[in-house]
Amino acid sequence: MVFAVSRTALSLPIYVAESQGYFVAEGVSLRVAECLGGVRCMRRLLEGDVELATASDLPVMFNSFVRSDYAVVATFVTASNDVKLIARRSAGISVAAHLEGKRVGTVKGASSHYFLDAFLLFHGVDPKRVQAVDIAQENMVAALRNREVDALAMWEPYGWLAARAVGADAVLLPDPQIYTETFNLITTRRVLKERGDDVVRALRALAKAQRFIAERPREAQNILKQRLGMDEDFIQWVWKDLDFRLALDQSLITTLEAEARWALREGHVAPGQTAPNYLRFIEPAPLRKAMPGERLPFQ
Amino acid sequence: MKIRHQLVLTAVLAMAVTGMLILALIQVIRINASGIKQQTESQDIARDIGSLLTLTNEFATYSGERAAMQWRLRHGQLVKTADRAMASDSQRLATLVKLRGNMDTLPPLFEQLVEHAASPPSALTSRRKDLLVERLLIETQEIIESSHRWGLEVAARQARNQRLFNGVVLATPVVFLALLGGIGFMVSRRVLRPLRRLDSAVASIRAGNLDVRCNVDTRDELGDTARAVDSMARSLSAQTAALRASEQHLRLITDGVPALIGYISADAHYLMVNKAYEAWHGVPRESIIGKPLTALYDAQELARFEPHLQRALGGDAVEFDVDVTRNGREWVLRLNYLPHIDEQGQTIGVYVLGNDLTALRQSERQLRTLMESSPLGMFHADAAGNCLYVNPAWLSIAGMTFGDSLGSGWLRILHPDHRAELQAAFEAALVDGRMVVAEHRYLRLDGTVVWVRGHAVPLIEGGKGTGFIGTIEDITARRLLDAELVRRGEELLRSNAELEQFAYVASHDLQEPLRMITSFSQLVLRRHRQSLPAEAQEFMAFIEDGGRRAQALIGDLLSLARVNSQGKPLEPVLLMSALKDVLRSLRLPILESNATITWDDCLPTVRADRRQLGQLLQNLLTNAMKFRSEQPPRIHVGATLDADGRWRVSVTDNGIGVEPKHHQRVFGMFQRLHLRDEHAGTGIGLAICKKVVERHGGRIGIDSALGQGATFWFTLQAADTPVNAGAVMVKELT
Repeated sequence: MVFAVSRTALSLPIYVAESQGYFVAEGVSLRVAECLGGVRCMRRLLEGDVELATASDLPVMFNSFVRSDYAVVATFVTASNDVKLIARRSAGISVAAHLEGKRVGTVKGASSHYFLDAFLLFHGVDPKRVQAVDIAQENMVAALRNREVDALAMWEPYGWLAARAVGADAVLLPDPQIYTETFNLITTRRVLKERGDDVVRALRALAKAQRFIAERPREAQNILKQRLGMDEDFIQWVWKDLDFRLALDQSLITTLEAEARWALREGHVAPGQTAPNYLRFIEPAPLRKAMPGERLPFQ
Repeated sequence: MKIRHQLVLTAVLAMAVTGMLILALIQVIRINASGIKQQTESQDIARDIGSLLTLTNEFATYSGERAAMQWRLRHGQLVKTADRAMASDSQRLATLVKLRGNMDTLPPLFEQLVEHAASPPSALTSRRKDLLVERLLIETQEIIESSHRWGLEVAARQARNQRLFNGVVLATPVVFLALLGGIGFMVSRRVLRPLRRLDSAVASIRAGNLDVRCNVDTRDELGDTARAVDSMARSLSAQTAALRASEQHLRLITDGVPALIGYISADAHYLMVNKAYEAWHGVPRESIIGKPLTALYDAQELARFEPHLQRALGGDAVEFDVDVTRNGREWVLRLNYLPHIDEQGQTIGVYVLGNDLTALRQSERQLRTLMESSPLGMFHADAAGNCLYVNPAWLSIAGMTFGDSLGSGWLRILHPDHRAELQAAFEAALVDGRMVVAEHRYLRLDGTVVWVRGHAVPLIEGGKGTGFIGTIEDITARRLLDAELVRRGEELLRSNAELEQFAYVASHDLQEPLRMITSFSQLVLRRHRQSLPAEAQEFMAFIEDGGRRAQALIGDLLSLARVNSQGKPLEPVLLMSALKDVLRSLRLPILESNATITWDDCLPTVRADRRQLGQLLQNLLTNAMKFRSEQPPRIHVGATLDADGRWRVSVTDNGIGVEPKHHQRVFGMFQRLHLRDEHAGTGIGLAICKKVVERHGGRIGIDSALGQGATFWFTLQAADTPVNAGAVMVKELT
């Protein structure tokens, strides 16, 4: 199996399972293929390049309007502050209201896009009065540094890298906790049908990795540093916001539905569509097999 | 390990296990109580979240003030409950922190919603309200899930606690049973089993089997006790063996002692008798031991023993003599009863020592009879000389009565001339233990004097003289006889001296007339031979021959007489020197007889009168040449040292020899074994030799057989100091 894994601190359980040989130990032949962001990872899944992918709830929500042959089999981390809004002080931005009329770089269709809209609305700023610029994540830091944008709404480690890139000119706008990101393991119905046991084995390996992170956090942090090529400061920057827990919660459905309503309301999906039934995009059976003791809200 | 330590350890272990169980129970109960409390809190949170969710929907729909107030109140209660849970459940802090964090996100959203409700409606406010309501619902949902997760964890923990509680409750009796079993096993193995061995061993020892051993090798108190018992058994065994050996020795000793030895208990039973006792009673000792005295003695006999036995049982040592008839014999016994007194001062028995005085008494009677009838006077005196006993003979010799003799009465008849001497002799004898032998006089009360020869033997006891026993013998007659003998001896000596003087004078004075007879006989024959008839010539020749022989005889007699009268003091003399002198004077006879004279290479120095020694050697050598055989004489002079330190000088020849029956005769005066015609001589030579040797204190003899030659030998004292050899050489040279 090929596992498309987003290059982010949220993917630590996959890194740990791979480095500790948990996939092999569980008897699943699995190769990790890195990709930049969950949108791309999920795209590769839906294109049939890989059998498993990591993605936040936003790609899951947007893709649900166009196809229904995939499912979330587990959430393996939630992050309450992973996506951050970093602006340049020199652009005259120090509070949310200053963003009106400014260019804010983000990855459209991803969690950063939803975060930006929710942030602005929470603070009474109409998102339509802010110029959201869709920038590939690998170009995000350069865009801020080059003043192509005045601010960025971006997940880690790009938020960290952007803040360091502009130095003292960077302003981290306070997060009112309006978005808790879920990072999920996604596969297709075809894979579930054909290689469901391997998916279960992969989930068991991730459960081991979760215990490893909980019990040996320093080693897990070292694995993350090596994997991302980041320093200790970055680890301390992000670690407190991460909650590594293999689960499938009702809040995932609530989040997806809220995001779907947001996408329809804000016109991010084609008009005339209705939000799908997200129960069809949740597959609890593999997780139930992998973690028989877990009491999942889904049948 | 010591049992005491094991018991302490076991007690400590039991207390520790009990304490641990109690602590575990307390902990489980405490955790259980905490779990129940947390379950309650979880239920409260679930109830409050449900209310919060309902109130959020109510406010989102109706924007009522009551709903907003209740929302805030319920949220406040929710936060308090969560804070209490965080304070009491540190184990699930991460879940609670997450829960608590979710709760903190709600108020800003809700207050924004409340604020928004007062705003005028617009498209933006509608979009914003939707976002806020959605976020409130999402966050509330997350709170519900976090709360649910926490509730599950609490329930799981509660279930674990319950299992733990069940386990502890179930384990408690099991642990106690195991503990009791362990203690029981330990007690059985380390205490009861060794105790049984110990008990068995002690029973065996009590039964007399001292070879039994406990065989407990543990290092605890029982092991120590068992080893002590084993050691005691070994010691008892050794002591018993020693006691048996001692008893055996004692029995051998007591059985070997001719005296009666026994032991009588305080209740007058025999507990021990020796072989002599057994023999005396005439029954085996098994028939005596354990029997009362009444079973072994009749009433009359008991009456003689009983008072003494009672005294001994009263603590006194008793000695008494008793006449008893046993086995048809009269016995005189001297019995000693020695009380056996224990540590409390009680007499628990009596040692009996009986000596058979029958023979002694008989011996005493015999001795007394002997003494009464002895012609020797006998006495017994104490150290001060006081007479304790004298026999009739003594009284007869001393002329005293028995009463007069006792004490110092006998000193009255001791002659004053001997008193001091005898007293000193007796005092010395009491010190050196030597017998006093003395001859002295008694001046009897009737005035007569008797000579006695006394032997007094000092009685020494403990190194100290206690008295004398002795005899006296009346030697008055012998003393008179001795005086007579002395007188006669003196007369004999005087007579001999006169005879010797007479012989000397006679010999000396006869020499002159004899010389005249011989000289004138020769003169007559020489001058008047022609005129004398043949018969007269023959008579004259007889006269001359007789005169010459008378001269020789007188010469020898003179020599014999001079041996004593003209002898000189003895001095060291080189025998070789004396021999050389003799050989020089005998040169002519040696040549005439063609004799060969040899001598030992080393002849000794002897104490002698040099002239008489020369005379002695000359007589013997002359005899050897005179009594020759047909062979030329071969004479050898030798000397050997006798066992008594005297030199034995011998002169050996190859002559005609002497029959052994004549060996004593040859040394007598005028003893001749041959006719004068065969061998000239006076018959005095060897008598002179004998007299010379006797004057030198030696002996003379002959070893010979007829025709076998002869060896004449004599003994002389060896010289203590060698003679001056240089002086001898000078003398020889001159």
